[in-house]
Amino acid sequence: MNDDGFELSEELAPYWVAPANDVLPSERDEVVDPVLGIPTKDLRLVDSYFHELAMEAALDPRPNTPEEQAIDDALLARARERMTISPDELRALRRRR
Amino acid sequence: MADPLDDDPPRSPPPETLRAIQEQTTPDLTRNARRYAERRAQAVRAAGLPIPKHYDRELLDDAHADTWTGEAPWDPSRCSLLVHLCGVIKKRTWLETLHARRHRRASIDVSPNDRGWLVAPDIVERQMRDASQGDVSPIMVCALVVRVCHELRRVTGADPGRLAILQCWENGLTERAEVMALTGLDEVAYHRARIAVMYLSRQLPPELREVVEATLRSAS
Repeated sequence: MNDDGFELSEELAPYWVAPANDVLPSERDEVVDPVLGIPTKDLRLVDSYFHELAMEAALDPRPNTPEEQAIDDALLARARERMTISPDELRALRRRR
Repeated sequence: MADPLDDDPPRSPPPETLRAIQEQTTPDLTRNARRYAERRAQAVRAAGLPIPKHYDRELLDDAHADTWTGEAPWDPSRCSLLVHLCGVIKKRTWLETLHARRHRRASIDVSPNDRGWLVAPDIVERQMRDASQGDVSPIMVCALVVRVCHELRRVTGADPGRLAILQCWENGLTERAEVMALTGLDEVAYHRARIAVMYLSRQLPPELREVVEATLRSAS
């Protein structure tokens, strides 16, 4: 499923056998972003590329600075506290907020 | 983040998934996911959208909470918790960028014919340099997207594996298992093709890579 919530698997699968010769749905029915006037597939391509760059940055082995460590400690503490509550209770709590 | 289009109420994850979330919620996961969220927040801001203070932390916190409640279902047999959280953050930031851009339409200061690829190259370069200093315009976004797409397709060439990766990216699909299922690439071929695309992307013209990096850095 892509980020817009569309299931692409069944539609796309036949086109991946020989991708160089076939036409993908995104190319057949090219959607243009109404604001930027750029094909949506180009926006997605750049977004995916930025995602991959962000994944590389995420796995950077450099140690945290003291400031970053403080942020992470707080995030981890929140996550651990959250996991002491059942999913149902947490959903109810979030609805009430 | 819950999908507003999803009519089915979220189901609590099964006990084994809850255990896996607890086991994988470690200091390393927090550091890596927070760094990912920072980059995504920067990319959202680089697209010209105002972001709240601590948006990156909110992205990670919400993604983890959504996973715990089952609103962002995770299958531990499919990918690590880190990859899942990054996927949830990616989806949310993509949708928020899309939504905000469409609602800012009235304030766009360029005519339909005044798009990035029709602008003289020196203006494009200047716009992109300005953008790296935080002054983002729709022309800059167009220019950056057009240049990055052109260069990615150029460096990728005609290799079927790399092309398949790029075509998945064009459809917003980056998760390994999904890309492999769609393309028929096995694990080795997938890794080889993905690494090649990322390696080749380092051949992007230096000024363009600089702008991409500066745009992401400066928007924090």
